[in-house]
Amino acid sequence: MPVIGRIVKSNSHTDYVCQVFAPRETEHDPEPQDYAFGRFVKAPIDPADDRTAVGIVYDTILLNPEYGSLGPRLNPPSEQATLAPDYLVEKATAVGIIIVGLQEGDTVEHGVISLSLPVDAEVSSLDDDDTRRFHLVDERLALGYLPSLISHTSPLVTELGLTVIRQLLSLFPEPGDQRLLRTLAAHFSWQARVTPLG
Amino acid sequence: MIIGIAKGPGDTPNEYTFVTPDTARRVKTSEFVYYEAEVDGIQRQILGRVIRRIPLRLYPDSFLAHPEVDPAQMAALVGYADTSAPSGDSNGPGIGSAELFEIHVSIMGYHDAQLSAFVNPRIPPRIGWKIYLAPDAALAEVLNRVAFDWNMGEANPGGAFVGSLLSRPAFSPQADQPDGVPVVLDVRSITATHMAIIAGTGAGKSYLASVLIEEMMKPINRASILVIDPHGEYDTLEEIRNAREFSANGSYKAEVKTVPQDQVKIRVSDLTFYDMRFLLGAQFGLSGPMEYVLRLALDRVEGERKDKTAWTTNDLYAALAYMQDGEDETESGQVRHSRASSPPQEARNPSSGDGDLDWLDDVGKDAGKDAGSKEPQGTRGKPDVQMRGSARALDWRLRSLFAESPNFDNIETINLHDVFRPGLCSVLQLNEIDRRQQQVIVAVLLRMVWKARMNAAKGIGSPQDRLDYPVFILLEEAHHFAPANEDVVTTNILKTILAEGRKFGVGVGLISQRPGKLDSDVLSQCMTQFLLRIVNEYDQSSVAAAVESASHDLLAELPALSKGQAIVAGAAVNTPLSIRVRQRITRHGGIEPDAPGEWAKYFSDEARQRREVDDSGLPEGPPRGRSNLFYKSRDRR
Repeated sequence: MPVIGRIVKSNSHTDYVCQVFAPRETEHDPEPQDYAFGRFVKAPIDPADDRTAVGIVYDTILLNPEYGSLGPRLNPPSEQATLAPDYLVEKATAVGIIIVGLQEGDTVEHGVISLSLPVDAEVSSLDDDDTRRFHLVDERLALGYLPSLISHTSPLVTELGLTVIRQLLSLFPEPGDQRLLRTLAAHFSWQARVTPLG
Repeated sequence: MIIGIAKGPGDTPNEYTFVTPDTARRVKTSEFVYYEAEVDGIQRQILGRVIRRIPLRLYPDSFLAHPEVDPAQMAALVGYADTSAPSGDSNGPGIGSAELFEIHVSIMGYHDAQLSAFVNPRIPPRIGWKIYLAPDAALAEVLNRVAFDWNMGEANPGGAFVGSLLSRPAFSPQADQPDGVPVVLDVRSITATHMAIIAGTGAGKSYLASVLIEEMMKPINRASILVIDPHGEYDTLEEIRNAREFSANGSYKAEVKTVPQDQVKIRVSDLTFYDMRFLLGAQFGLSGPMEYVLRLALDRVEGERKDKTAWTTNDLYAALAYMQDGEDETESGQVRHSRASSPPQEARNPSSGDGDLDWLDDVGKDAGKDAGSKEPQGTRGKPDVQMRGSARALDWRLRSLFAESPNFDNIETINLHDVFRPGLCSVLQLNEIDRRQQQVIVAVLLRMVWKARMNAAKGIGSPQDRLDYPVFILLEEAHHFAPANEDVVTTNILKTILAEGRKFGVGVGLISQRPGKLDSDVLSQCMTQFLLRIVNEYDQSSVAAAVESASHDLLAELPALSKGQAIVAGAAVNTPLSIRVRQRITRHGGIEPDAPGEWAKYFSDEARQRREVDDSGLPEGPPRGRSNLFYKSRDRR
């Protein structure tokens, strides 16, 4: 489970901003697919226990202080690393994360959680097994976070729902689960593709 | 059993609403519920009938997109946990119906045992009051006018257990712990204030009527019933004779008598002028002169029988012959000249002192006037050619009528005491009899019954002329006997019986599949109504106009009723009820013929071989002679 970054800010109780680690900032640089749109991620609520908040990457923000400074500089770009070493790290990638549940051991809770993440909490992406485990409640496929997810104000929310369901379609191949997911996928597909044109 | 919580007032002051998840699916339309309220210091159960069910919470359409996906599972998938779902739901824990309903209830009131009616206290339930489902036994007690004996499994005397409440499980008295609410009708009300069974074709009219007859023939009622059966559907009632349900410890055994159509006899002397005119006018009607001649002929034959003995068709022919030729045809077939005989006093012109034929001349003139003839005065003494022609035509028509119909007889007639007796159900089969003749037969019969019951009530006449016990007459295809916008011979006597039958103990049950074609006055006089499935809108509106006690929401169910389901309203029940008709004890006779089955039989080996034998012209059996060379046996082929 690659660590992708740390929590730097929150917009609300469920909406956090995670700054993705820059190259060589960690042992394993995060790959772009680790913090891709719709990726499930988790972050420990308290390092002292195993409660982790599970969220979904819903947005990506590129931070670039150089943008807008269009005037000439005295030092050439090749010397910038020597003359202003902190300047480079100001370029960063941040991702927006919606918290959709809580995992504590084998227990899973979907929806708005009561606890919040601390600043600097390390965010790591969920692998397929963890993602599947997070979606099993009482050994049944569950997406109990979906209502709170789609109530988010992001314009990408229906596309996000569709992306999430597509992931789950590959993780839950059982026919019964496939029928349920395809029914949901059809709904989101309509909402994302047809309704905006109507 | 609490099933919901009161929400507030309904659409009218007489209605209220309550909300229920109805997970057990008990709150159906026409179901009975109650709330408790204090009325004049007494805690009462205010009964009401469910009239409408409106869903409050529905799944989104997208949950219904996949035919194989249960919307409840979809709701569970997105985290909806239905805590009200019954445990052990097939979908799994927490997955159940998420539906919620607003139920509209029409308030009936509490049942007042002294008044034997529902009293509406006009106290609607307050929001939050508990609404209960009325228990079976309590409901049976207040809905039925005659109690059901739960130990005996049948109605108390004077009741007819015809089925059970449609909104509850089917009631079976034979079950160890029967569920459901038995519906018991008040036979006294049915027989006193008449009833009507109205339904479309194939909805179960004759089945319901037979159930009612069965109940009335049980030892608890021992009725005297006559069924007018124009289609021959009631012959299976004869099984009543051998069924143990219709006997009681040797003291009673119900009888059923089927009178086939060739044994239905009406004495011609019991026919009135109007009956004759109706019969003779079947195809072309009767002209004015013909009617007049008929009237005179009948006056003559009736006048000649001052001793009240029955006249015969020959007497009538003789009277007509007299008018045709001035010759009188005797019963022996001889002809005597009219001048040698005395013309009927009733037809004779009192002022005339001329010859014997003068009365006939006056007849011609008078009838000519009636028919609009411009014949001038002063034709006295000249036989009227037109009248004589009318008499001849009438003679021909009468002979044709009586020759063709075996049901009109000079001597025999229905003996009321043969067909009416307590504990006897008589079925008068009128199939294969011409419609008009059926109508006349029924008219004569009703007149006879009416007169016999009036004699009994007034204590006059001989025992033969009286019927000393109330009778009930069930009339199938009633729209033929009291059609709307048309007067037939039965209309008046039917109206008389329906209006006054209560006083003299003549009850009538009308059965019709076309209420729109039934005289509205006649229908509205039937105070108990059984309504089965009616699809035709015109018929529905006719029923709505005639049935006062059934509310519009109940009548709206008419097209949706299934076979064997009925709405009962009126005097025999405390409130209109939707019922499921119980199973008959006897077999059902009104079954549709199996045409495809009969066609298939035509191609069976047996039928084919039989046809070949028939076509060959050879005898079917083995020849007795020595040679069997030309014998076609089935085995050889």
